[in-house]
Amino acid sequence: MTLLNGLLAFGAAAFTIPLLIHLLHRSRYQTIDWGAMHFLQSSRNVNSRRVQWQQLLLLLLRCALPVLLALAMARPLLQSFLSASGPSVMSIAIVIDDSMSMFANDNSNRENAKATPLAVGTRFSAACKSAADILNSLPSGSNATVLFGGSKPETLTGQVPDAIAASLIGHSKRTVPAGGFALEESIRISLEWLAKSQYAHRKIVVISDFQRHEWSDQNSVQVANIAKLIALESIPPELAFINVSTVGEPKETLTQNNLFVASINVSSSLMTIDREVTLSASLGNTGPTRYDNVQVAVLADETEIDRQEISFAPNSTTLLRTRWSPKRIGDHVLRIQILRDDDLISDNRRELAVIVQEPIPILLVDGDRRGEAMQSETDYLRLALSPFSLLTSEKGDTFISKTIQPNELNDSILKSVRAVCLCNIRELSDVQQAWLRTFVERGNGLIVFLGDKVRSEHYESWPSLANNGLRIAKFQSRTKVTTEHANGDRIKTQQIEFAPIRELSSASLNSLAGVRFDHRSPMTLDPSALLNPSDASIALRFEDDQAWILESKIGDGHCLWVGSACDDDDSNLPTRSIFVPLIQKLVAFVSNANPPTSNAISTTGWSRTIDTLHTERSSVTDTLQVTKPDGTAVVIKLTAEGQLRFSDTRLLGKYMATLFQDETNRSFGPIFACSTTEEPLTRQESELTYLTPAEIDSVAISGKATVSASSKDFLANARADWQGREIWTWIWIALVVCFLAEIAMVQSLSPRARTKPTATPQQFVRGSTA
Amino acid sequence: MKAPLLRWLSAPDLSRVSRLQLLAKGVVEGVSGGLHRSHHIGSSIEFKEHRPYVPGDETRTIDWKLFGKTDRLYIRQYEDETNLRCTIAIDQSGSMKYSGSRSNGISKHEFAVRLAACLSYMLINQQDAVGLATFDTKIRTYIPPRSRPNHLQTLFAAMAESRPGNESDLSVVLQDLLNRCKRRGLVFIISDCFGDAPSIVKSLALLRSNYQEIVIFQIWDDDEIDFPFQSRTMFRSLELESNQVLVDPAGLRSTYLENLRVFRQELQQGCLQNRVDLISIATSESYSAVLSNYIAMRRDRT
Repeated sequence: MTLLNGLLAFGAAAFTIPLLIHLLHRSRYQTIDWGAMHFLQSSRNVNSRRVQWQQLLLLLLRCALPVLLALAMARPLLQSFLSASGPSVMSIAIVIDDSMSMFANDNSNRENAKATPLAVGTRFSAACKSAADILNSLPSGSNATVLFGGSKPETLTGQVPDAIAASLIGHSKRTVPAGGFALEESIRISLEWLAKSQYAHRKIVVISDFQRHEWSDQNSVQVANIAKLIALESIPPELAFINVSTVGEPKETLTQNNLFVASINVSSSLMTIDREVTLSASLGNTGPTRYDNVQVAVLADETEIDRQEISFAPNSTTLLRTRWSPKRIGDHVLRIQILRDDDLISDNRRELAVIVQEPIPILLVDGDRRGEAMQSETDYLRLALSPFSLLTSEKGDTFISKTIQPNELNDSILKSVRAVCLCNIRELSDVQQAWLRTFVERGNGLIVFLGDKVRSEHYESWPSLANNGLRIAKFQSRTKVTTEHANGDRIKTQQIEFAPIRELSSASLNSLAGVRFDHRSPMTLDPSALLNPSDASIALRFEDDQAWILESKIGDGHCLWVGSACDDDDSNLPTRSIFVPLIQKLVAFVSNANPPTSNAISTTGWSRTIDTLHTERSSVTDTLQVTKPDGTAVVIKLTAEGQLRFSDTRLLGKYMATLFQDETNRSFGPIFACSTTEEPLTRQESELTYLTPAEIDSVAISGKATVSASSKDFLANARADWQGREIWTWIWIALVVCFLAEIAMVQSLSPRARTKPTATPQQFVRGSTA
Repeated sequence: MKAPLLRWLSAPDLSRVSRLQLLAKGVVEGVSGGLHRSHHIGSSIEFKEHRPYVPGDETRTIDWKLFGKTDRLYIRQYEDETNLRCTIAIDQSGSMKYSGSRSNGISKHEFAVRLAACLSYMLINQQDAVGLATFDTKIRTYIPPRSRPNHLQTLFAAMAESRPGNESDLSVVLQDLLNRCKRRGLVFIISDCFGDAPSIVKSLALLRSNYQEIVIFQIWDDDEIDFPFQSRTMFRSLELESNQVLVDPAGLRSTYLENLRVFRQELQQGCLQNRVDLISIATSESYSAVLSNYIAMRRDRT
């Protein structure tokens, strides 16, 4: 505690005046020779102690009056214990929630702005400004850090509060949200930073809108965990919450209407040029108001390809469908845009990056070639891989297949294809096996369909995977499926772990379950053929747990062994609707084809293999410039394997990467795109409902935190800690209270007040008994 | 120096007292006729007074001669009379020395002596035998009852020699009186009665059982009744010099008055139960007026 007018504090010495008066008064008394001592003796014992206390209390009150008066005039400044012990410098970590809901319009500013919603500003910008205010108000010498607490929290660089505050003003203009608020992780990072701090006064400030979806769960679990985490620290920091959701307005008056785009999907598993795909988007309305004829635009690479009018019922979701035919190979960004302003504009649009690729060349090796149409196994495969080119004149097949005889298989032909399908091959030479091994190791794929021509003894003799070969199993001769096999004629479609098949729709899986097998070529995984047990696994199996498809990873490529023929000799598979998607999935898998979408989870980052077939790697420096959704650009290098790996994908939206040229340092060539979403993809971030003040208080209690209704309130309290709190008002109140108490006590102790009306002596003696 | 009688009794007091007639409530044995009514029907029935006739009175008691003179009906009243043996006990303990600011400079003891003088004068004048006892913790002076007129001088001389100063123990004194007063009589106790009320009441009951009618004149100073002191005061005992207390009287007053009330209530109840007259008198009052009122009250009761 310090005194602003220190000299006046010496006036407190005036407390000696009543003390002296009291002591002098004590030494003065009259003496009376008294007869009725009998009545005095017993009274004295009862009263003397009480009287002494009363006198002492009165003395204290009288001494307190000059002391309080002097203190009040000296204007004392009360500081916290820690700040009073030295310079009031401190370490502060500010966590700003930058999840989707924080980008809702700051309605508290709407009255003042009287402008379009865009000019109103977002809660995120208000939070940034609040944080900047706090940083600017810190005692000099303090250090600070600011974290954006959305998914994968990001720390702003620098520790000098003023510099961070200036940086925050720039960030406040951001309109792109991050993923869901990761409060616990943010606090953990803050604690790690504070642990390195040299100051004992530490504080963590969380600025959020307390959106119900995010905080209702955190209320029960995360905040309690946070309190435990903080308590474990050697110097536990103080935790404070600042609520920036419509400061000063009751939540009930807010318009909660919010239109949003929840997701975009494409129908095709692989996208190729001129092949029309169906785009579907899930749209919704979280508010109680119905919206009719809302314009929704569909854009591909910023070019509008469709516009629809959609009506939104209250609290509902609806589906938008449209078709799109890509005209260019490469990455495209599709965007659904609701053309209507509401309280949360950020979720009115959503992007999806898709990859349109050239048809993938596949080599089909036919071991049972026949002259008639649809008699050879490769005929079925060609139909499955290139249905459009075979059945119609349209272009748009994902795969281009070429059929050869087994003796035509050589090293040179393998260089022009991405995958090879061996169909019912009786045997291959050792050289051909070696070529295929090398082919797969380079990142290509091989599928081996067994059949009636296959000589199992020959396949048994193939070099094993452990011996630089391809064999991973022991083979038996093709057998007929009988009733002795318990459901051995059908595929087990539950608990599938093989990713390409697991992604199939339930209808496709039902179709797969309907496949019946007459014959099958039994395979058993051979552990002795593997270096590691994890090198190979059963991808699909029959109901009797016998393997149907075995999968092995060789180098960068994959190899699949299918225990049946791919025509209708062994099963009715070709007649089932699952046939085409199944074959395409398997071939796409082994050929390492890019998925149709380039969609990353905000927390995991963007990883992409740069297609060397379509870029002249020699002419680039392996340097990429990645433009983030907020427009900022980052330069990164490709990995040694030629992969683009970009981890800073916390912002939701599209990421664009371009290659840099050596000499001019200018980007060129194909643009790689990626869109990020949250995981799990939920619509709750778009629901603008918030915790009530009582619920926020409850959360704060569980987290042992304080809550400020606004940054102003927080600063008012914080300044009291940092700079001291003037307490002269309270001292004046205490002074008045003491003064009144003294008057009341004097009155109560005065003889007049204490003398109850009694009978006069005459009345007393008249009451005698006769 | 004035004679003791004139020193204590003023002319108005004497004229008022001389007109008083003390009437004993109970039966008192007497050796000569007096003004005190006796239940015994003896030879000395004397006229008392006339009073107006009221319906219900016996017609034989009507004074027909007076009716003839005044044409109004009066009743002739007679009373049996006997001599009274009175003993006046004066408290000369230290507490009787107190003289407050409102008592005109008269201490309680002086007041008691004057009251005793009045009583003696009145009783001797009506041929009653009067004795005197002064006491503190015990009886210091005892003069047996006599009815001769010159006995008054003896009584006054003893009163004049009485000096208050010691502690008091009324209960012991009463038991001593019990041994000295063998015959029926009237005992006047003039004291402040400070002491243990139950013990005093017990002793009064013993004395009362010995056929003694008892009248207590309890002398108070106004200060003792309302305890008016305000500033810090050292109260020093009049009976025991070593006993002194320094107190805030204002804070103590309520408790003091409560103690006083309890003491007085106990004494009053004890007196009532034992048919003892307890007359409280403040020294600020006129003792002759008090005496006059008491006699009038006794007359009304008979």
